[in-house]
Amino acid sequence: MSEVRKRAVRVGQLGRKYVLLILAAALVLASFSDDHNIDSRLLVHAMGIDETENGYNVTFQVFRSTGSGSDIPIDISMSNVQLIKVQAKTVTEAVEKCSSKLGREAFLGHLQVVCFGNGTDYSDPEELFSFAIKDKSVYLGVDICQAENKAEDIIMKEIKRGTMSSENLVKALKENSQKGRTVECTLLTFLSCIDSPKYTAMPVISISEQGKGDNKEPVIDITGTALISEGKTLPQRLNGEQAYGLTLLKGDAQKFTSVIEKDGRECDVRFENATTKRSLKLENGRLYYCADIDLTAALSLDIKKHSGITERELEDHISRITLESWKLSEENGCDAVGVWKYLRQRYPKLYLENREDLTLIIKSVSPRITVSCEIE
Amino acid sequence: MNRISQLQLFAVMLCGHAFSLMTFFPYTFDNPSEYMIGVLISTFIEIFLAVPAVIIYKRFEGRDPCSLAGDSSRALKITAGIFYTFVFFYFAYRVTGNFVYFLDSVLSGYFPRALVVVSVCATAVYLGLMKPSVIGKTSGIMLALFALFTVLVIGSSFSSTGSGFLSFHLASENISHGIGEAVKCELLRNLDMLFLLFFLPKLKGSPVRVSALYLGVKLIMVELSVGFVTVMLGDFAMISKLPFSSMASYSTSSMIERFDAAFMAVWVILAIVRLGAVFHCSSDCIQAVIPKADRTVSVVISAAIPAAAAVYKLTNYEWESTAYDMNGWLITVTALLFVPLMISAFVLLRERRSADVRGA
Amino acid sequence: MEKNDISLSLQETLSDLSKMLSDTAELNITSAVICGTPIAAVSVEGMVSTEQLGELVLRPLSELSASKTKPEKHLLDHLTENMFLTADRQKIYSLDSAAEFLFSGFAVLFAQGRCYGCALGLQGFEKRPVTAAESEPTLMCSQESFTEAVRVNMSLVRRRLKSKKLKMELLKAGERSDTDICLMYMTDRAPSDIVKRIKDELSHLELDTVLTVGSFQPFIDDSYPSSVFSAIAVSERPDLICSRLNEGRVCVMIDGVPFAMIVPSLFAENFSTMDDYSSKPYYSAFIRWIRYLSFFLSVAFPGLYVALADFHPEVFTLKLLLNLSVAEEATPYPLVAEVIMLMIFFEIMREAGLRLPKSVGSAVSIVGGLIIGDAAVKSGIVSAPLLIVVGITATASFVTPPVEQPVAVLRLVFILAGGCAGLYGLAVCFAVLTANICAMNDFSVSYMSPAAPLDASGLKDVIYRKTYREYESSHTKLSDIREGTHE
Repeated sequence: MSEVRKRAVRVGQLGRKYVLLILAAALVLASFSDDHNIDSRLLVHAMGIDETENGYNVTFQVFRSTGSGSDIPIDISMSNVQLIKVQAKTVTEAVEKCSSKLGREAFLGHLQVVCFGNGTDYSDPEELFSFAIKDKSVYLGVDICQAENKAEDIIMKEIKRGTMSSENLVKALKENSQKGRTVECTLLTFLSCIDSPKYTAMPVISISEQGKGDNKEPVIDITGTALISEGKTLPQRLNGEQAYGLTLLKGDAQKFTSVIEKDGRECDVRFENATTKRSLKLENGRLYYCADIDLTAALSLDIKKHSGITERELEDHISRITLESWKLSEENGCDAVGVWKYLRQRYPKLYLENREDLTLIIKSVSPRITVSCEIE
Repeated sequence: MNRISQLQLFAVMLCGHAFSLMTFFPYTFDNPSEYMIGVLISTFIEIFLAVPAVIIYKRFEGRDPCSLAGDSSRALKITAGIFYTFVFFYFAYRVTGNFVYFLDSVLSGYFPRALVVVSVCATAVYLGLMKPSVIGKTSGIMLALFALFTVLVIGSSFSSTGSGFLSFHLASENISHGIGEAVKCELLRNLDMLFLLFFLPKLKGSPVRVSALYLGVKLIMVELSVGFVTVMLGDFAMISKLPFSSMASYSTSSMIERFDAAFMAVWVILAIVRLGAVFHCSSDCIQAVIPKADRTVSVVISAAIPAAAAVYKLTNYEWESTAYDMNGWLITVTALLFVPLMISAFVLLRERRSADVRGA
Repeated sequence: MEKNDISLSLQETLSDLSKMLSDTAELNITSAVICGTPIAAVSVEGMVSTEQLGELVLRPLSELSASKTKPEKHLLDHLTENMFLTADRQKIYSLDSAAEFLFSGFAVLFAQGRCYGCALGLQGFEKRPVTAAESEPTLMCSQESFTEAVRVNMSLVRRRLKSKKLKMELLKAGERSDTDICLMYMTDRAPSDIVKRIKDELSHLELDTVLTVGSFQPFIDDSYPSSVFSAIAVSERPDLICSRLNEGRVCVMIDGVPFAMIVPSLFAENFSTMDDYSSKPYYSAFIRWIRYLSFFLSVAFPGLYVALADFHPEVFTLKLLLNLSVAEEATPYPLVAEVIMLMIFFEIMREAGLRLPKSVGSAVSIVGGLIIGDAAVKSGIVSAPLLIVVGITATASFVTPPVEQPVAVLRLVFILAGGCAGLYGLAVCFAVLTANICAMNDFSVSYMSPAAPLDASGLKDVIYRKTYREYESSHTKLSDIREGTHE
């Protein structure tokens, strides 16, 4: 190797060493900015948001361990939460106030559920959920629900089952949506509405105390499915069967168990394997939402006794509940089914012409539902 | 001379584009369909942008534009060197600024912006000081990592796909305008094709295969990514600041709650690879202008000037307008198409004159 | 000025030799008059076998003297030309050579009236017997490893590779130590430029002594000053050396060192052992991936834990995060400080375990691992989850011994990077490390081969072990992975 080349190699090696030194210095200096220790964070599990005249009342469920010794860090027989109530003009401000109260930075990365009080205005989801938009650690799949009355009543209840209280709320919501008794509503559902029409449905939750004397335990109940149209909650709600009908119309139905009366006898019917072929058709100047529903049914009374329920009857039952669901939602101006998306995709010109007031055109859409049910 | 293979150069270019893709979707679009159509059209245009590299390879035995310009005259060489130096400065300025600006969103402002600029540029300088084959090999490994990460995220996201297919539509006030904007945006993001021109002297083989592979895979990658993000996130995809990060944070599995941290790690690595290649090529241009300049010094200058400009804007919180400004697409077209063709024309003219003089 | 020539006068020769060797006490001179000729047998204490000296040299000389038959030639000529005496016999013409042979375990015969000596190979110095490899143990392969004697090592290799193409060259290195260096290579496979380069470096080596493999590595490893890993592997297994020689690598053995250097080596080779080639391919592939995972755990696990816990806690599942949060709440130090403390403590334990006598070794592991670790958790200095992290890291680091040293340092670097800058810092470190490894290109062989540059057939052996039928049809050769021109 020539001397010039050797010198160039040496300069290159020296240059690389200095560059690494600068890199190391930059990384070390960067660490002096803020305290990022895990124990300096406040783990927020659940939030309850009630709208007031002056802003919002926000209730936080924050993790606090109640370990019974160094070997067992978390005592699962306790609720392991601390409850904090804050009043502020915006939800983001409420989060800041919560941090100030407890002297730690609120960490929303494991926020499990957000419960809104009855009557909350959802017309500006960007403002309402600004705390989640600004903080990238918030999970987009956070469950959103509505309280029967105040969200504070839900969040303030300490449920002593599982590792922490909010776990029970989440499990109840997921279990009910899987069983078809309500719909799944997440943060993503609302964030998608920022630049789109604001139609959605969300579960309504309540907590009651059951048991005797000192052994009373709070029990979660899904009392219905609320319908949101242009940010406002409609007075009509869907019950369990109607919520299933809605999921069938949307095409994301899972299992559902219904009770059908026949000849004075009640028979449990489990519906599953539902598929829905959906389309929007414009015929003779009228829009039709076509839903071809295929599903299977398993009857409980078919071992010794014969229920006598026919497939036709089951199909009629499904048709009835889907129509009821349609009437309650679409005909009242809440496009929870998502007809507007089909309109946007299939008839973009029509959509653009009516974009300012989609409710009118949604109300004019007629359902065309065909059900095909097979008994297992 | 240390050489870079075709696959390695392809990896360098694709890593660069993957960084852009993972950063943000241009916000001027109402719907992803416009963007996807625009990407398809721009890919066809980019085929023409690769033509000068092929001409230089076939006619001039694979030289970079600056050294080729030297065959015509020293003045042209210096002019070409200065022009491409500024193009690379602009490239580095955009990448550095975008990286730091969007890193703030992911890391919620943990680190001072100036220090992030210094650290990422120092790492990229370290890579830029290496030989082309080292940059190529590093890119290959990072590309494999990116592919693995993408597969993981997609696999974890399957259960979460909703009715996102309905978010593909053409309900836009002015579709042709939207598609035109998409074409311009995609052209601006394709400054990585400059690597084709500047790694040409060190390339083992023809640039035809590299450009065909790059354009084909890039098209598939962008379309599939945009499509998948839209299916997963629905209408939120186009309004999210970092859609890929949002998709990664929405993916979940039983062992790992979220993948957005992994996204960030892969994204940082891709940024370093892209910047490293930019600094390497930029130092070649500086050395074309100042032949006595040391390689180390020229790489450091290639990093320092754009970084300083980016730091100024970032610390004054004025970067957002630059991030979303797509008007630089002309620079891509000029640097990839017009200038190399002009240089080739000048060189051919000079060769003809010399031949005439010799004949006379 | 020291005289180097062997004098015709025996006394003068012996006196000059003694003076040259600084009148060292270890020099044994046995003189006698055999058949009327004064003759002396010179040896160094402890270097020759006294039994063999007596049996093979002194006894025949005594018999010659007793027979009273004077040989026709000069005594020394008769011994060197008409008698065998020993298998290794050489004529020497200078006192320098005499000294060299004496210190290599030869006995040298000088005689009055002759200006040359006869060196007889009678090595009898104490050497360690051939034992099992301690640093590279295997289950189903040879249990022999190299020893300190280079000639024994040469025989261990020759026994396994009886090829006529295997060449062993003995060279000297070290201006004062004159250490024997053995260069081994297959003449039809090893690139000649590599052999030439090593020979050139050896001949120009200006070190006083060559006592370890580390002495010579910087001179043949171009990336030594700047790279984290070494492009030259070291092994104490003869079977591994034979397989590398067959691929065209060059092996260098130093007398006094029970390890051989393999030039050049690849990063992927740090994760394969000879046991892989004794098991079925599916199991070998499985265990190889366990090693890759162990490498990743040993380098990045603590840093990753710190980065995620401090900067990205949302990655953990909720219950895990709650447990970690509770565990860290009670400890006085930041997480990064705890991790660094524990890792340094682990390195102290490991070093102590290496240096302590074996009888005390188990006590150290009990004291360190169980008592101190358990006590540290109970007293609240460190958290229990952290101990699990460190335990896994420590165990994983023992899976890949060839890279143990760079891993120990890299681990600390990653911990600092993760603690200072989270996953951003780790990503930056990873990028620098990858570039550093990709830049290693000794002897035109990329250290990251076959991953970078990509070689599909070679990569198969990295991801999954090739079957022997595949090896039968295509032997792995160094020339297949060398790049372009060789500077």
